[in-house]
Amino acid sequence: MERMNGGGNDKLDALFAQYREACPDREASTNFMPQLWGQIEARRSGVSSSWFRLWAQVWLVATLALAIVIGGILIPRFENPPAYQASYVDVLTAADSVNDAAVLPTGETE
Amino acid sequence: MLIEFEIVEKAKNGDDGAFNQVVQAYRKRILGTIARLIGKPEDVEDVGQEVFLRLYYSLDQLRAAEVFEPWLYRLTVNAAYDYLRRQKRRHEHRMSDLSEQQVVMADATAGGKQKAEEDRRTKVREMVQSLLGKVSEEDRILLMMKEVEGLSLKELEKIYKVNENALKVRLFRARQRVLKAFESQE
Repeated sequence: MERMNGGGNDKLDALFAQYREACPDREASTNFMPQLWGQIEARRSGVSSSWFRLWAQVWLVATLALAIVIGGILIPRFENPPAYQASYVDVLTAADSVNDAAVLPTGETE
Repeated sequence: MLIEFEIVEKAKNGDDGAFNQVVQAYRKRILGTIARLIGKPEDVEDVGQEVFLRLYYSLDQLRAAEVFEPWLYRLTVNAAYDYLRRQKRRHEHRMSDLSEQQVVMADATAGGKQKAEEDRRTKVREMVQSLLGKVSEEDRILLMMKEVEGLSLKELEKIYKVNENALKVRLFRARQRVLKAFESQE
């Protein structure tokens, strides 16, 4: 793009050049590298502990789900076998009717 | 390149010793760039550490060692931008802080001639920072990278991943705004 304001632009270029010279590249302090590695290590352990936390949560949820399935569905099914579903009176009545059928021969009337 | 591609490759593959070499080769230049971009000497090392921390955790995504420098500049630009945005949010961007700190530095400088030179530099830094306050953080960084860091449009294109014409337009507008402020100060 063409620069329209020649004089102003030249002065601004000169100012930027002076700024570059007034802010030279600088050496890092002696703590720079130890602090950098400290931050790298802190983030690294933070990442691994957050992975551990995530895994622990996944296992906890899985364990709870399994406990609900076992407690709510499987245990009641095994606790009530069909043989004991009828009441004591029903069982006696059923037994009596079988006995009556055995005593009275088929086709005989009283 | 300030360092061999091979060392960058090693660092990319998780060699901490090679990463150390990369940091040592580039930290002076990167700290200088950050100092010019943010204009707060006391925060330069913090932002510099953020740049190299991001580098450490993103180096495995680097396509090829040949594009390492634009990649590092991109991280630098992003970290400086984040810093400037945070400063703006906290309303901490006060030029008086910079002046105060630099006055202390200037006072500590022995000798009249040295002091006069430091005063002149302080004035230049304050003036440029004040002018850059007239444009957005994005434009400020872009302008600095072009005008002060001396990067070419091709290099900026690689850093910003924006086409050259769009960069030219943006630079022109930002420069015009700064120029207007500069002329009104004169």
